[in-house]
Amino acid sequence: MSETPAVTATTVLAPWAGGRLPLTPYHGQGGLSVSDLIVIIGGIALLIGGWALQRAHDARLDTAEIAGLQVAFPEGWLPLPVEAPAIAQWTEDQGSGATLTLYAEPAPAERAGIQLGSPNPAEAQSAYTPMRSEPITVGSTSAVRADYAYARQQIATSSPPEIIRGREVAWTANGQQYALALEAPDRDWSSFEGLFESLGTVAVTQGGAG
Amino acid sequence: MEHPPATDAELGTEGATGTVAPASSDCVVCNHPITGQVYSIGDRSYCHEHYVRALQRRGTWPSVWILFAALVAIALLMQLVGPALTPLLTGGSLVVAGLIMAILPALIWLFVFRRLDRLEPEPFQYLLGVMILGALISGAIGDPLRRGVYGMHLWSESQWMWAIPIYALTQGLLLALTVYITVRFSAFLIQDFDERADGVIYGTAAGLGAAVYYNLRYLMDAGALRLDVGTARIIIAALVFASIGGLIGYGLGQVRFEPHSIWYLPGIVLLAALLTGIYEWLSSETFSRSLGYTAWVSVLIAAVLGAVLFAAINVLVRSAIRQTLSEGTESDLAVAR
Repeated sequence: MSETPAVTATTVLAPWAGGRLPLTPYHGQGGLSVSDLIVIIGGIALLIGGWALQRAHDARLDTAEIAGLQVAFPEGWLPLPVEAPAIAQWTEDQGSGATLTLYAEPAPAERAGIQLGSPNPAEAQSAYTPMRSEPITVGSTSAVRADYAYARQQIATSSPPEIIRGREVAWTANGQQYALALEAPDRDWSSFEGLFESLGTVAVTQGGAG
Repeated sequence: MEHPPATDAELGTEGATGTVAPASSDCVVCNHPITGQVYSIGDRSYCHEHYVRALQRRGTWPSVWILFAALVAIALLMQLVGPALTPLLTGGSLVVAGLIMAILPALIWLFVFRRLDRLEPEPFQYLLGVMILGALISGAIGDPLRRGVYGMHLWSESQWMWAIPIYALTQGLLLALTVYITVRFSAFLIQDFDERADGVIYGTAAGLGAAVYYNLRYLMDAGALRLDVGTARIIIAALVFASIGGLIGYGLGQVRFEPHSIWYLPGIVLLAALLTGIYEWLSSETFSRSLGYTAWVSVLIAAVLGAVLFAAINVLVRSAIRQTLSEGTESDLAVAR
């Protein structure tokens, strides 16, 4: 009221008068202004740009359906045959020895819904060293994330054991205990650890809702 | 009922007495015809009661900050006691608790932001209408794009150089455009949008509407209400969304009453999207590899960002009120100071 300038009949009835849009919605004009069009059209263009950027980012990942669980893995990584409790495994295609493994085993019925230990058998490896373990929440699912390391002896070589670094997220859902573990030789670990969050989020979110 | 002229003691101000308009009119606050003396600030007419109230130092900001701290404290407290309380909520109590959690913080923040507009608080029904419109646009357009096109409910990235641009150009822009369209094509056109600060207030209402929708959606997604995670997320998200909305509303308030470059509003919308991107990245960092903190630290970090945005809105509202009053009389300037 007080601050609204006196709006003329021309601006109210014909904001397009003269064939030109007003530059901005100055004086509270109801019709579109150039500024509005930039916001709306530019906003849509940037949303498309955001979609393209997200696709470029996600192109680093591929997905697979494993036992009803959608799992993301780095694009180009190769599937490997697995033994229980692993249900899927991929390895890096450049020969670094990095692996991504999904483990699953039934959760004891009487303790369903309670976060138990991890089905990851890495503890049995020589010189296994837990480095950090903490409860986390992904979406609405409780999980435990842990970092660890162990020594792996190269088969049929005289070279010294190799230190393997690992990070896993373990959670319980649908009566199963799951663990998704990313492992890589210590020298290459920094190249791979950045992938883990995206991989873990997809797996836990998809597997935790049920 | 006639009132005597307001005294300095009543006003609680030094030297600000306002002016007494000779003609009668409606009070801009209660909208009732003013009988007796008509007081004015700038071009606004007030009845005795609301003139005194407009000029009184109400101690709003200390109480607002106390409320802010209390809400953050509740969020942190729920990190501790939430896991114990969560199993107690089943059936009807679960639904009621979920609805209260999604809506109550937004209404509290709406009340808080409305208090900032001391010259002429906006009608609550208008604010509620803008809030509902913001929620509807989020539900009809924003969220289907967020989930269906971008899949953001499943997306996560810890590296800031990826996370911030992607969050900003997806969720951030969707929120910014939702608030912009909600306010620009509703409240912006009504007569009650008559000062710059109104833009901030209506913007926060639209942002809170979006927050209510996304919080309800979050609770539905979660399947079971988790008080520890849910409370913190909902309270902080409501504040941040309100502040982002306030920023866009500030821009709209500016262009309504001042000529600005055509790039001014697009710039504000981009800035709002960027700030949302930063917030989304911070709030997703609970799962971070590099920081390795747990939920309560995430709550604190998000709360600090919320506090910064909230303080910025404080500055913007005060600046807008000062600008409005500076176009009035000398005594109004005294009030502004």
